Amino acid sequence: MKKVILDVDTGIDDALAIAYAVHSPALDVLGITTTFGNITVEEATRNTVQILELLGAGQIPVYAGAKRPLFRELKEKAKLFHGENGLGNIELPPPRASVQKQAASAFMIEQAKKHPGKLTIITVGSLTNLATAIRDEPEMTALVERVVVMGGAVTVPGNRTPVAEANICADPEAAELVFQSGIKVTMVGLDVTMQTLLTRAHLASWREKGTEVCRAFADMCEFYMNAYAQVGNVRGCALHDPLAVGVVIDPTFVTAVPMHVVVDTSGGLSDARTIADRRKHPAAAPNVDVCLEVDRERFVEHFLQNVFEKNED
Amino acid sequence: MKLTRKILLVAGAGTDHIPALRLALASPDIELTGIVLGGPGQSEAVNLTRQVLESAEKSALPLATAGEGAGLIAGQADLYKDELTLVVVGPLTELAKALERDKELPEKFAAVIVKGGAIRVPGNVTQIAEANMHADPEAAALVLASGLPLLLVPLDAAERVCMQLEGGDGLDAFAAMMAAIHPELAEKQTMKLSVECQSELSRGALIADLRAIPRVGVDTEVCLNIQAEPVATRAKEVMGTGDVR
Repeated sequence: MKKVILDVDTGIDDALAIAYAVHSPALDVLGITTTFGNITVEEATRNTVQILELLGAGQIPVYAGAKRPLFRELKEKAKLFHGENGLGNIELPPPRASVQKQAASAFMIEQAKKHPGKLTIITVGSLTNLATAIRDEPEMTALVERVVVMGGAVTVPGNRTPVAEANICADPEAAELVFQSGIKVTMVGLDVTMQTLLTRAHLASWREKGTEVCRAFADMCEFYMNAYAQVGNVRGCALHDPLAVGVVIDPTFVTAVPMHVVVDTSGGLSDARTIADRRKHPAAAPNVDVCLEVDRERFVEHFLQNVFEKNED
Repeated sequence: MKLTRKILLVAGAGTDHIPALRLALASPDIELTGIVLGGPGQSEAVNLTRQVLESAEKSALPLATAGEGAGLIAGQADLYKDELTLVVVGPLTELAKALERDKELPEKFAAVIVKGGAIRVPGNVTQIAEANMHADPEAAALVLASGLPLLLVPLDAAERVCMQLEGGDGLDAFAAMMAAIHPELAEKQTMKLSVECQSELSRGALIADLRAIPRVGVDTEVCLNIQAEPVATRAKEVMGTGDVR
């Protein structure tokens, strides 16, 4: 089993990623850390505990993380996509478990030291917690086996601006710090996530199952799909965060190409763009494995089979 | 009766406009009305251009060198009102200056073809920026916003042409001239475009809003693809079968 920490800003697709991760026999989820992005960190933390409890996985510890970007003011939350409460405005029972006292970044450092070379960190929100951990403990870059980042866009348009993806937008300096730190990074960006698709037919089949979990997720995802339709994607919604989890479960879901990637932090038109050197003769050595292709049918099939139940391999 | 079209060629300080110049001179229904060059009077580019004009018996054509371009652009726009096609294969500095000089300039051209930018393909100066836009992004932004009847021909357009020809790199200017002379070969689409002027890292990048519902930038006609075979064939005819450059 791969030891993982999932760093989330729960968030509808974060909730899907959590469900997929906790049900995977390939993953040992050591803890879930929270950050801002889709919503505030307080809401992300509450939602994460609620989702874990809904899934019957309330034993997994939750660590609250950064309240705001490293250097910038907190941006407005993504109400259009995730609703006022971050979960498509569905109502869940109030959280029972309490949140851990340890900070998210401190937990990342502690676990990296406890499992040197064996910890994978999956980030599906802003990169602030991981950047903070690397800043506080530079050894992190050698201790962590790999970081899988849902974020960025290299060969496709952004989703927050013409060139920038939302998680990088949430804290561009943190993303740049992580990318240049020397830590091993796999970037699961819009290049691949926008190729994955959850459809209304999938939601209908969840509803047919009739469980509380399936109904709640179908309601959330319906909200998400309606938001997608408003920005011109009428066929369904992308499985952004679940794909980052999927890449850790089975790296052969994607094809990644090593590239040199920098993050624009100018604050202007190109802010938060993940700029990859795709020239024949790149000016610098690769620092990020950029996922460019995804075996979407095999991934979506695997996701649908495993998101709500634990199937032994 | 086929109308002869008038073309003013605007190039940069280098020599990569030479294939485009030869194409214009070799095209029967095209009348080249002048050349704007970015280099100083005695530069290699200017000398080479003069040689090409001489061998085509066109030595008398107006030729503007560094700093004189805006005057020639504005002057010819008035002289050939509505009949002139501008083909810009260098930085947009002189065209931007001409626009500042004459606010009505955007209404005076038949068409303005601009070689510049890289949309889906990597840049040729930085990871994302193409040489002409990178050389003067502010001028490029001004031209985009000006209301000129633009057709932008980015590096993407000539990619397949370059793949067809041995040593075919640097045919981007040629492709832009082909798009001007044979519009039927150019696949056109409208995109919202902007030019990054502020960011140091991304300076000169042409940004196309390719999202499902585009919101940022100026609507611009773009030729993302030009039929590779006829362009490659014409390049060989015009430049000889050896070095197409």
